[in-house]
Amino acid sequence: MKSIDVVVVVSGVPRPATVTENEKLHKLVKEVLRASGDSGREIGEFELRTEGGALLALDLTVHEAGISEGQTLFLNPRAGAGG
Amino acid sequence: MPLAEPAPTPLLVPLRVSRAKLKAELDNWAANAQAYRRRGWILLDGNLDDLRVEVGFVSLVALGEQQIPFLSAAVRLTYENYDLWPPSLTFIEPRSGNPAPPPVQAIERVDGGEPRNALLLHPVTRRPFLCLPGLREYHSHPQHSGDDWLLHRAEGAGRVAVICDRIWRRMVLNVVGVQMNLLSVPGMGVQLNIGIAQGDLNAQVQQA
Repeated sequence: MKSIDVVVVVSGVPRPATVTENEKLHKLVKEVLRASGDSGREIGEFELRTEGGALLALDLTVHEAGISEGQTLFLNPRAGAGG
Repeated sequence: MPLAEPAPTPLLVPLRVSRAKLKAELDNWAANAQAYRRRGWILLDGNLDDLRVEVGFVSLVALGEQQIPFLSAAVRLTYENYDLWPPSLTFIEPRSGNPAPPPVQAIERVDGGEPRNALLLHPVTRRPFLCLPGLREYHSHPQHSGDDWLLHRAEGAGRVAVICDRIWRRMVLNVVGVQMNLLSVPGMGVQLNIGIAQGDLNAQVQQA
């Protein structure tokens, strides 16, 4: 099973991570939140996006999401509604 | 009516604490600078003495066959008493640094509803502000007095990268081109209005 090294920028802080192609993205998000000391937060409070801004569904696998070696992803808290 | 002079900012958090937190933000920016540049985020200034960060947001506007770089927004963030207070955001004219309204709207959909403009006029500062939690102008707005900053602090809502991401998706990523409206009315002559066209963000990112 192929391993892929990625960087997930969590609220601006880069976190390196290694994933396998058939791993679901929610597992990756849980791991980087744990590494950043945010393991108590619900993953639904966050959005994972590509550098181009595309929102990634967390039930996709790394392969299905088209994530490649060395790619940088961005994890940010969802914005609450103002108004 | 002229605005009253703003009251001096009380010092509630030691300067060295706020500066250390802002320095960490700027260090993180440096680590991601290349990716941010590709997104069109340009760091204009980062000043720890003044607890100030200024960022410009560049989008590409289609003009015929050309893609023209266009500054969708420029902002100043100040981090007084951070992170007891949230950062303050001011839209600026990037050459002078003076407050100035941005040339685009901040379009967002809340819970899949109709698009709305999150750029509103603040009743106290009389300047446009971004109506989003994590910004001082949001939490100081009378309509949001029940939504305290401390409820949002731990989620990182005041961090430079998080604020820039929110601006980028509402005001930059959705810029698609230039729109022109020609109005010809008998007795009133002809009017040509030129503006920036903003599209549907969801449709755009699916093409990315």
